[in-house]
Amino acid sequence: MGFGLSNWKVLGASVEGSGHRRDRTGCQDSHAWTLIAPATLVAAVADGAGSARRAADGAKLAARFSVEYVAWRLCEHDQVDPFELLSDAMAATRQSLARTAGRDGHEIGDLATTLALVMASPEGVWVAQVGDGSVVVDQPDGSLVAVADGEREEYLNETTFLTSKSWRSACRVEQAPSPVESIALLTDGLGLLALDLTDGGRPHLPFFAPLLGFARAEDARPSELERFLESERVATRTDDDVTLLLATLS
Amino acid sequence: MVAIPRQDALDEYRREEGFSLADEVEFASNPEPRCACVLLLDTSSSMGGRPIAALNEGLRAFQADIGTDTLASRRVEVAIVAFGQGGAQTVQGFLTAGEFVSPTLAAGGSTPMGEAINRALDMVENRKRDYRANGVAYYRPWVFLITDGEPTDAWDDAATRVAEAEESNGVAFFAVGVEGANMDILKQISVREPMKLDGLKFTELFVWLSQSQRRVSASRVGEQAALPPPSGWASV
Repeated sequence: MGFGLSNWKVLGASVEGSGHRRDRTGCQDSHAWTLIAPATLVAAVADGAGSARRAADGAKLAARFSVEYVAWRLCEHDQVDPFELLSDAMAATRQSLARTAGRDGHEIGDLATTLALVMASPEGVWVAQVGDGSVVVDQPDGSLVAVADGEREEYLNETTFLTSKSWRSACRVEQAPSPVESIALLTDGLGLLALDLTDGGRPHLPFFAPLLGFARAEDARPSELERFLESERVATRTDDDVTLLLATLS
Repeated sequence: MVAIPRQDALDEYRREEGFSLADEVEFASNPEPRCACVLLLDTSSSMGGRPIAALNEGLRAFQADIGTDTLASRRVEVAIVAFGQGGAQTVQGFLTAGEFVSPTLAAGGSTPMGEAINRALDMVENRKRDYRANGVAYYRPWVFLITDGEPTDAWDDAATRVAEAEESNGVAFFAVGVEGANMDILKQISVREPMKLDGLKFTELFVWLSQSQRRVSASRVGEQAALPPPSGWASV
């Protein structure tokens, strides 16, 4: 706004799935984001494990802490290696979950959650992920690519969580091919609708294009995004919690 | 969080003009993820009379319960292998729960459980191969064995296969013993602790199975399936 500086515009929504409404488990997805002057976006989405007792808390803690940690590091230091920073953020977030579990007297597994973390600045876009969420970015030719995707597990309902013992080997940290003007973070509930799973999980352009167009509109509201995620059309295809965070640069 | 200013009037306008993300956004056309379940049912002569009638009633209850869940109806796939007269019989190959019509089984003959278990494990492996060949995402398949006796055929090989399949996380194998079942042998076949059916509560058992399948086929259940407690049908 003003001075010809471009900046990120962000819209995010986490919506409880109809299956969770039926079982009264509550929404176990969470998302968080912040903007750091002059033009850096930090964003995260997290999906708590259905069988974890405090899944919703785990997801919320992971999303918020990871964003706050990156923001803090960026504000404290002039030069930070992005790979190191995001790796540290994942480790620090896990430690935070461990501390919470210790303080509350239970296993870290009770807070099991996936985490996808993004840092976008004029220097580039970096992504760190543990679990089965997706981070999709656009390319100058109008195509979309998924970043830091990792191996898909054999079974749809099994993935590694940030709280898992093997989280380190499951954690992917990658730089997106530059330049990027649109970023979408989503949890796996939307994967069936947004990715062509028979084509290696390639982002489905007719899914993202209208959403990114909508996100760029000056008057776009998160409530409209929520309405879409809660719509009948989405609910018939998935009864999982769904999170979508859209960031566009202008 | 950074607050972005909004205009209620514009939002109202967009609604009135009928702009709807739900209409504009096109979904990827992915096949439904599948959850395969093989029911391995003892139809030997000792199941004759009240037990087989209760089992058939249970199958009807399973169809009815899972049929109320539109997502599970598309995702859960059921196959039935009965073992009794004439060896292991594939009563029905994999059908989605929505297409499944509960059969009426008759009792008679011995208990070729070893053959039946091998058949079920083969069906599961073949189904996974089909899924992979067609780009279908899937959940860990189930084999659900119900018996009121003990194997009258060789079963060592089957037990080894079950152990290997569980070890490699290839299948979730459950065993339920009805009154008269040899639980000691079941313990040697099934890695998971076999459960004992309380009387002839097949209906409660099958509703529980439907509920469990519905959970698995819905959202993620993490590294272990969080099944509802079997207290409604299992005897302690």
